[in-house]
Amino acid sequence: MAEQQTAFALPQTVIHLFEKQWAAATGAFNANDAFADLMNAYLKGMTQWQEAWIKSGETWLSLMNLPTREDVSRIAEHAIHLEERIEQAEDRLERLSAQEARIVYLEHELSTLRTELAALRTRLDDLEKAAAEPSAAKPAASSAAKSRKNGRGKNAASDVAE
Amino acid sequence: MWQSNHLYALAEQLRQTDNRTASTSSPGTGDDGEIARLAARIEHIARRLEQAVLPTIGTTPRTLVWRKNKSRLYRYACGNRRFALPLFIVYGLIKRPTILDLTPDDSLIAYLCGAGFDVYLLDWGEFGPEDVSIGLPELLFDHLPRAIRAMQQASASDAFHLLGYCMGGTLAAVWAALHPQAPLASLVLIASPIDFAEIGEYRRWLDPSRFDPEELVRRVGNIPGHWLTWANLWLRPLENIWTPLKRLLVHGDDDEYLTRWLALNRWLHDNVPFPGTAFVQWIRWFYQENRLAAGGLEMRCQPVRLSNIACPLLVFVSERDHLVPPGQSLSVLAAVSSREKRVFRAQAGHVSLVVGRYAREHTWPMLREWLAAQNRRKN
Repeated sequence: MAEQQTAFALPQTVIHLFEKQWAAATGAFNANDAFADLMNAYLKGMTQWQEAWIKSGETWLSLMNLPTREDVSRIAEHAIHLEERIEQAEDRLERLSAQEARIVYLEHELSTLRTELAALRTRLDDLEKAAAEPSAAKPAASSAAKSRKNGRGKNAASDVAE
Repeated sequence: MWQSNHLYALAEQLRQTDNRTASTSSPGTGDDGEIARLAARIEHIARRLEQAVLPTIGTTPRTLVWRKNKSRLYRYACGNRRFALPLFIVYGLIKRPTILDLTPDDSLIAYLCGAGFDVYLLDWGEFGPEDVSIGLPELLFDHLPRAIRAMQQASASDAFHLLGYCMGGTLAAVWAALHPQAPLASLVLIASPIDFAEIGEYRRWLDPSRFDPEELVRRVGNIPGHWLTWANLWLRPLENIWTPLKRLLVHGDDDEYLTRWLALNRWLHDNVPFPGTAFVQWIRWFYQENRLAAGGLEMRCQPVRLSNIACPLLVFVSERDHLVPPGQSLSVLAAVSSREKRVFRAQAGHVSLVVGRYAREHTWPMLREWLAAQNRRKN
């Protein structure tokens, strides 16, 4: 404030008065339906003129067999749509490659399970062979093998289910 | 807006008036040369404006992370990243986002980078006549999610903070409402219009009975940015047009003030066109029908429900903001289902909420503290 006073001593009073009056006047002016109507009428008039100007320019350019602004815009619009389609394709590719990675992982898991299952079968066969061999403890061994077989069968089934 | 040639003309006008008054008034009733002195001062400031180097704005180093059509996502260089969660800033379609990175001393982005945040800014760019058909759903469904994904990849973090300034805040809120599963650490809205029931003089100016956005767009295509600037300035013509000149005349000898004034003036009149279809939707859906607050907003057949927003929310409002009065932002608090909500009421205007002394002393530290606290909580 002090700075303001040194900058303009007398005009400051004038400026304050001016500001006060103009703030009230512009406020009242803005808060008026007539002003809003006037502004819209002005905007309509101006845009009508602008539209006519643009159209005459376009007509002149097309008569001269030159590319108009609309032509250039249309080409640019195609480029934008193309960009969008490329991006959509990229997104799809990304999703597909994510799915592919999942499939590769599942295939790997499946092959591991197959190998494990094959190993289990071999072991079971070995055990069955061993159980089938004639020995002194045949009855005991056979009943033990039978019970183990049942148990393993269950385990094997649950392994696969896992 | 105020350039040296305008000031020279104003000084000349004052001199002529002074001469006319002096020739018609009787001796002793004059102003003792005050008007002549004022004219001399205006000329002095005009000369200083001519000599002053136009400041470059938006100087914080950044790298381009993603682009689509005119939109660009920038990552700002952060010397020492202290926080794991990145900050994604969405700007509106009115003007350029350089206001958030005005000058090296007056940059919210540089401040946040200096505090250790990984900052990303989505700049919608300068739309051309070919973009007249771009609407808000395109921006929110085709552009924004891809930019966010690019940010997540670049920062190696899924969770992030989302910040929107002015119309950018509205877009951020709509996006957050459309994506309730998004890993949002927090949502920050700075002077963002949500409830368009209280829009001041715009209610009268944009009344559907007299203002038809479709007709306007059909005639001119994209809306020239300077039209919107003038509409905003005309809400308070004296404060917005005359006061900056008065301040320049008072403080014009101060180099620092002059640089800041020039930088702000440069941003103010650096306009970008508003895409036609997006403009129609912005005016119809938000200003004329208030669909966001009323709950009737739908985008690509998806209802936009603010109640879907459940992340921590920080809302900045300015008591002296005539573009987005506080009531327009505050209604978001009742609409969201976030448990943690905070409001910062600033004694500032729409722009001085993010740049200038007030912002440096109040807004920025508040924002930094909030982001840091949410970061700690998320970790």
